[in-house]
Amino acid sequence: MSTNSPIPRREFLRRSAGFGALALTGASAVPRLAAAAVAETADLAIVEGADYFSDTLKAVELLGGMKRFVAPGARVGLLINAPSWWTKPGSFTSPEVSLAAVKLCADAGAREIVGIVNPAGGYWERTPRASGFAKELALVKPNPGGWKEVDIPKGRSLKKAEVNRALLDCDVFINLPIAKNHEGTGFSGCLKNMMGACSHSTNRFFHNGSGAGGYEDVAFLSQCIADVNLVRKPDLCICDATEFLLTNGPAGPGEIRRAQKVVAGTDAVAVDAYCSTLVGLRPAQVLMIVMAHKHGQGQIDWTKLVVKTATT
Amino acid sequence: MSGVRQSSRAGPLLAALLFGGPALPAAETADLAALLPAADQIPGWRVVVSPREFKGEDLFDLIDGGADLYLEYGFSQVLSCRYETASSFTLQIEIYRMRDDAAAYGVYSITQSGSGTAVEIGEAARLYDYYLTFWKGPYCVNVTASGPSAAARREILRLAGLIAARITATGAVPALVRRLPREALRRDCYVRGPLGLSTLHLFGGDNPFRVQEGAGGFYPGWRLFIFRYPSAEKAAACLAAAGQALAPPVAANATGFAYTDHAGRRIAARLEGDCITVRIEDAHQPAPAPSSPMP
Repeated sequence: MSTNSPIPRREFLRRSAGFGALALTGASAVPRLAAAAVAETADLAIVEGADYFSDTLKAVELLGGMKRFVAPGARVGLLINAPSWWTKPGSFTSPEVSLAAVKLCADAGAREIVGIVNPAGGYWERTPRASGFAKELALVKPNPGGWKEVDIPKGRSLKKAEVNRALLDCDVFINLPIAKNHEGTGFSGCLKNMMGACSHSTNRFFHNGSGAGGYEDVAFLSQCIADVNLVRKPDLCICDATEFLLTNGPAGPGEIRRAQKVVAGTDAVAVDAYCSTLVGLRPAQVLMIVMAHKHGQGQIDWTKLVVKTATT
Repeated sequence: MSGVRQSSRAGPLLAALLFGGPALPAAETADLAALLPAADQIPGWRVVVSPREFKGEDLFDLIDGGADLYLEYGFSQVLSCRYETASSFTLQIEIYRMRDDAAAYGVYSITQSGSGTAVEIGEAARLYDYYLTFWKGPYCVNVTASGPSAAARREILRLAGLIAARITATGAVPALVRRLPREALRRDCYVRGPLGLSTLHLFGGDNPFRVQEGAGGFYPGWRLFIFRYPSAEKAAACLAAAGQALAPPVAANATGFAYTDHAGRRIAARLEGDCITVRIEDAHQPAPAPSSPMP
């Protein structure tokens, strides 16, 4: 499958509503069951606690569980913001968060998990928990490489982008950014992390393509980020807001805020809108969030969504 | 320490030097590896990431999206490496050689915050719970531990001191910064473009004052920016453009305007020769809660 909806609606209803009950109550019950299923799950899950692995498990549970997103045999693409160049505390997605995502995908029956960007060498070993999940981590395959140029007809600044093939080839796309300060866009989260799926030349265009010269065209950069998010909507976003750069992002070193939160949802705009407040900004101050919202990619006012919170 | 690996795209520059191509200015060919401590100064330490150098826009290969700020100030080259200490934590060193002293001071000034402690290393330095930054001459140096601890801070201080001692150049704070009133000054900064400015204050819009150079001072209850332009005429034109962009001004004439921004801060901009001064009064209202959703 290569659509944004990896589980057909019928399959989703079958799994989420309980097979026997659905069969017995007949077709007329489907809307009610669907409504009940929707009512029980959050659009946005915010979990706080010092155990980031557990926070992540709980956040996905509040969304309805990983089986809502990953069908048995699915090929999952993970976009983890932990490339080799982010080395300092608070600059990369916690391996505890990523490991929990891998575990959940494995438990849901994923056939294979592919890094859309390969995490830095030794990434998984940064959490002592990794040794307990060797079987799950064995599912994680290195990025096979390769780029594909895609058209973005609705893009305003970006009409084409060269993206990693793994982004397009996976059945399920899970975005795993870290929320942090960013000197250019003010904030980095789900939307910004999509640059990680783009080739070097595409990303250079983001920075220099407006022709304005210098390193100052944040509006153009922000529009390109909103545009490239049209290429493929994440099926699930799990944003690490546990320990992150409050200043001097994206590289650091800088002040660290230990919010100890994991924020999950299917709406990258909403996840970013909420997480931007953790970095001390209003969503309306972050141009790429505003622009992605204008694209119809998600809800900037996350309070309009079903939000569930928990502590671990 | 030796064995510095050049970034792959530094090859043409090296070739140009070796084979008689256009020579780089001396300032852009510093031997940054010579600033690293000698092996006998860090006994028991192990190099876990060998020294690598990046020049010009190859900085993106080291810090990707973080490169723009350094490039805005004027960046020449950087050396990055990482050690594992005898106590098993790691220390990452980044030695940035900027185009001039002002650029080094600028990057340093913009990346500091009040939570650090001033320490006497280089021209100025601040120590935080897991890192230290100092500047000296055209250099700005970060020493970053893998996590906070008292032992890490001790070694950070020692390592930074060793590097600073090897830098013979000295530098002065830019003249524009020295024009800031000193009384009650808590923090001063130097900017060379809108990215740096945006880390200090978001005026909104697309660089409304068309800032290319400026100084920022932070005082109790207010802050002051001085933006300098190539000529008085250019400054006047930028003031007029900013007045248009930052509508609605509550008062405006040819030499200044004032308005109140979305956060309730009163902002007054005034033309002074080839400069624009902007005074921002902090709003007297509670700050929004960290999780407040919308403006």
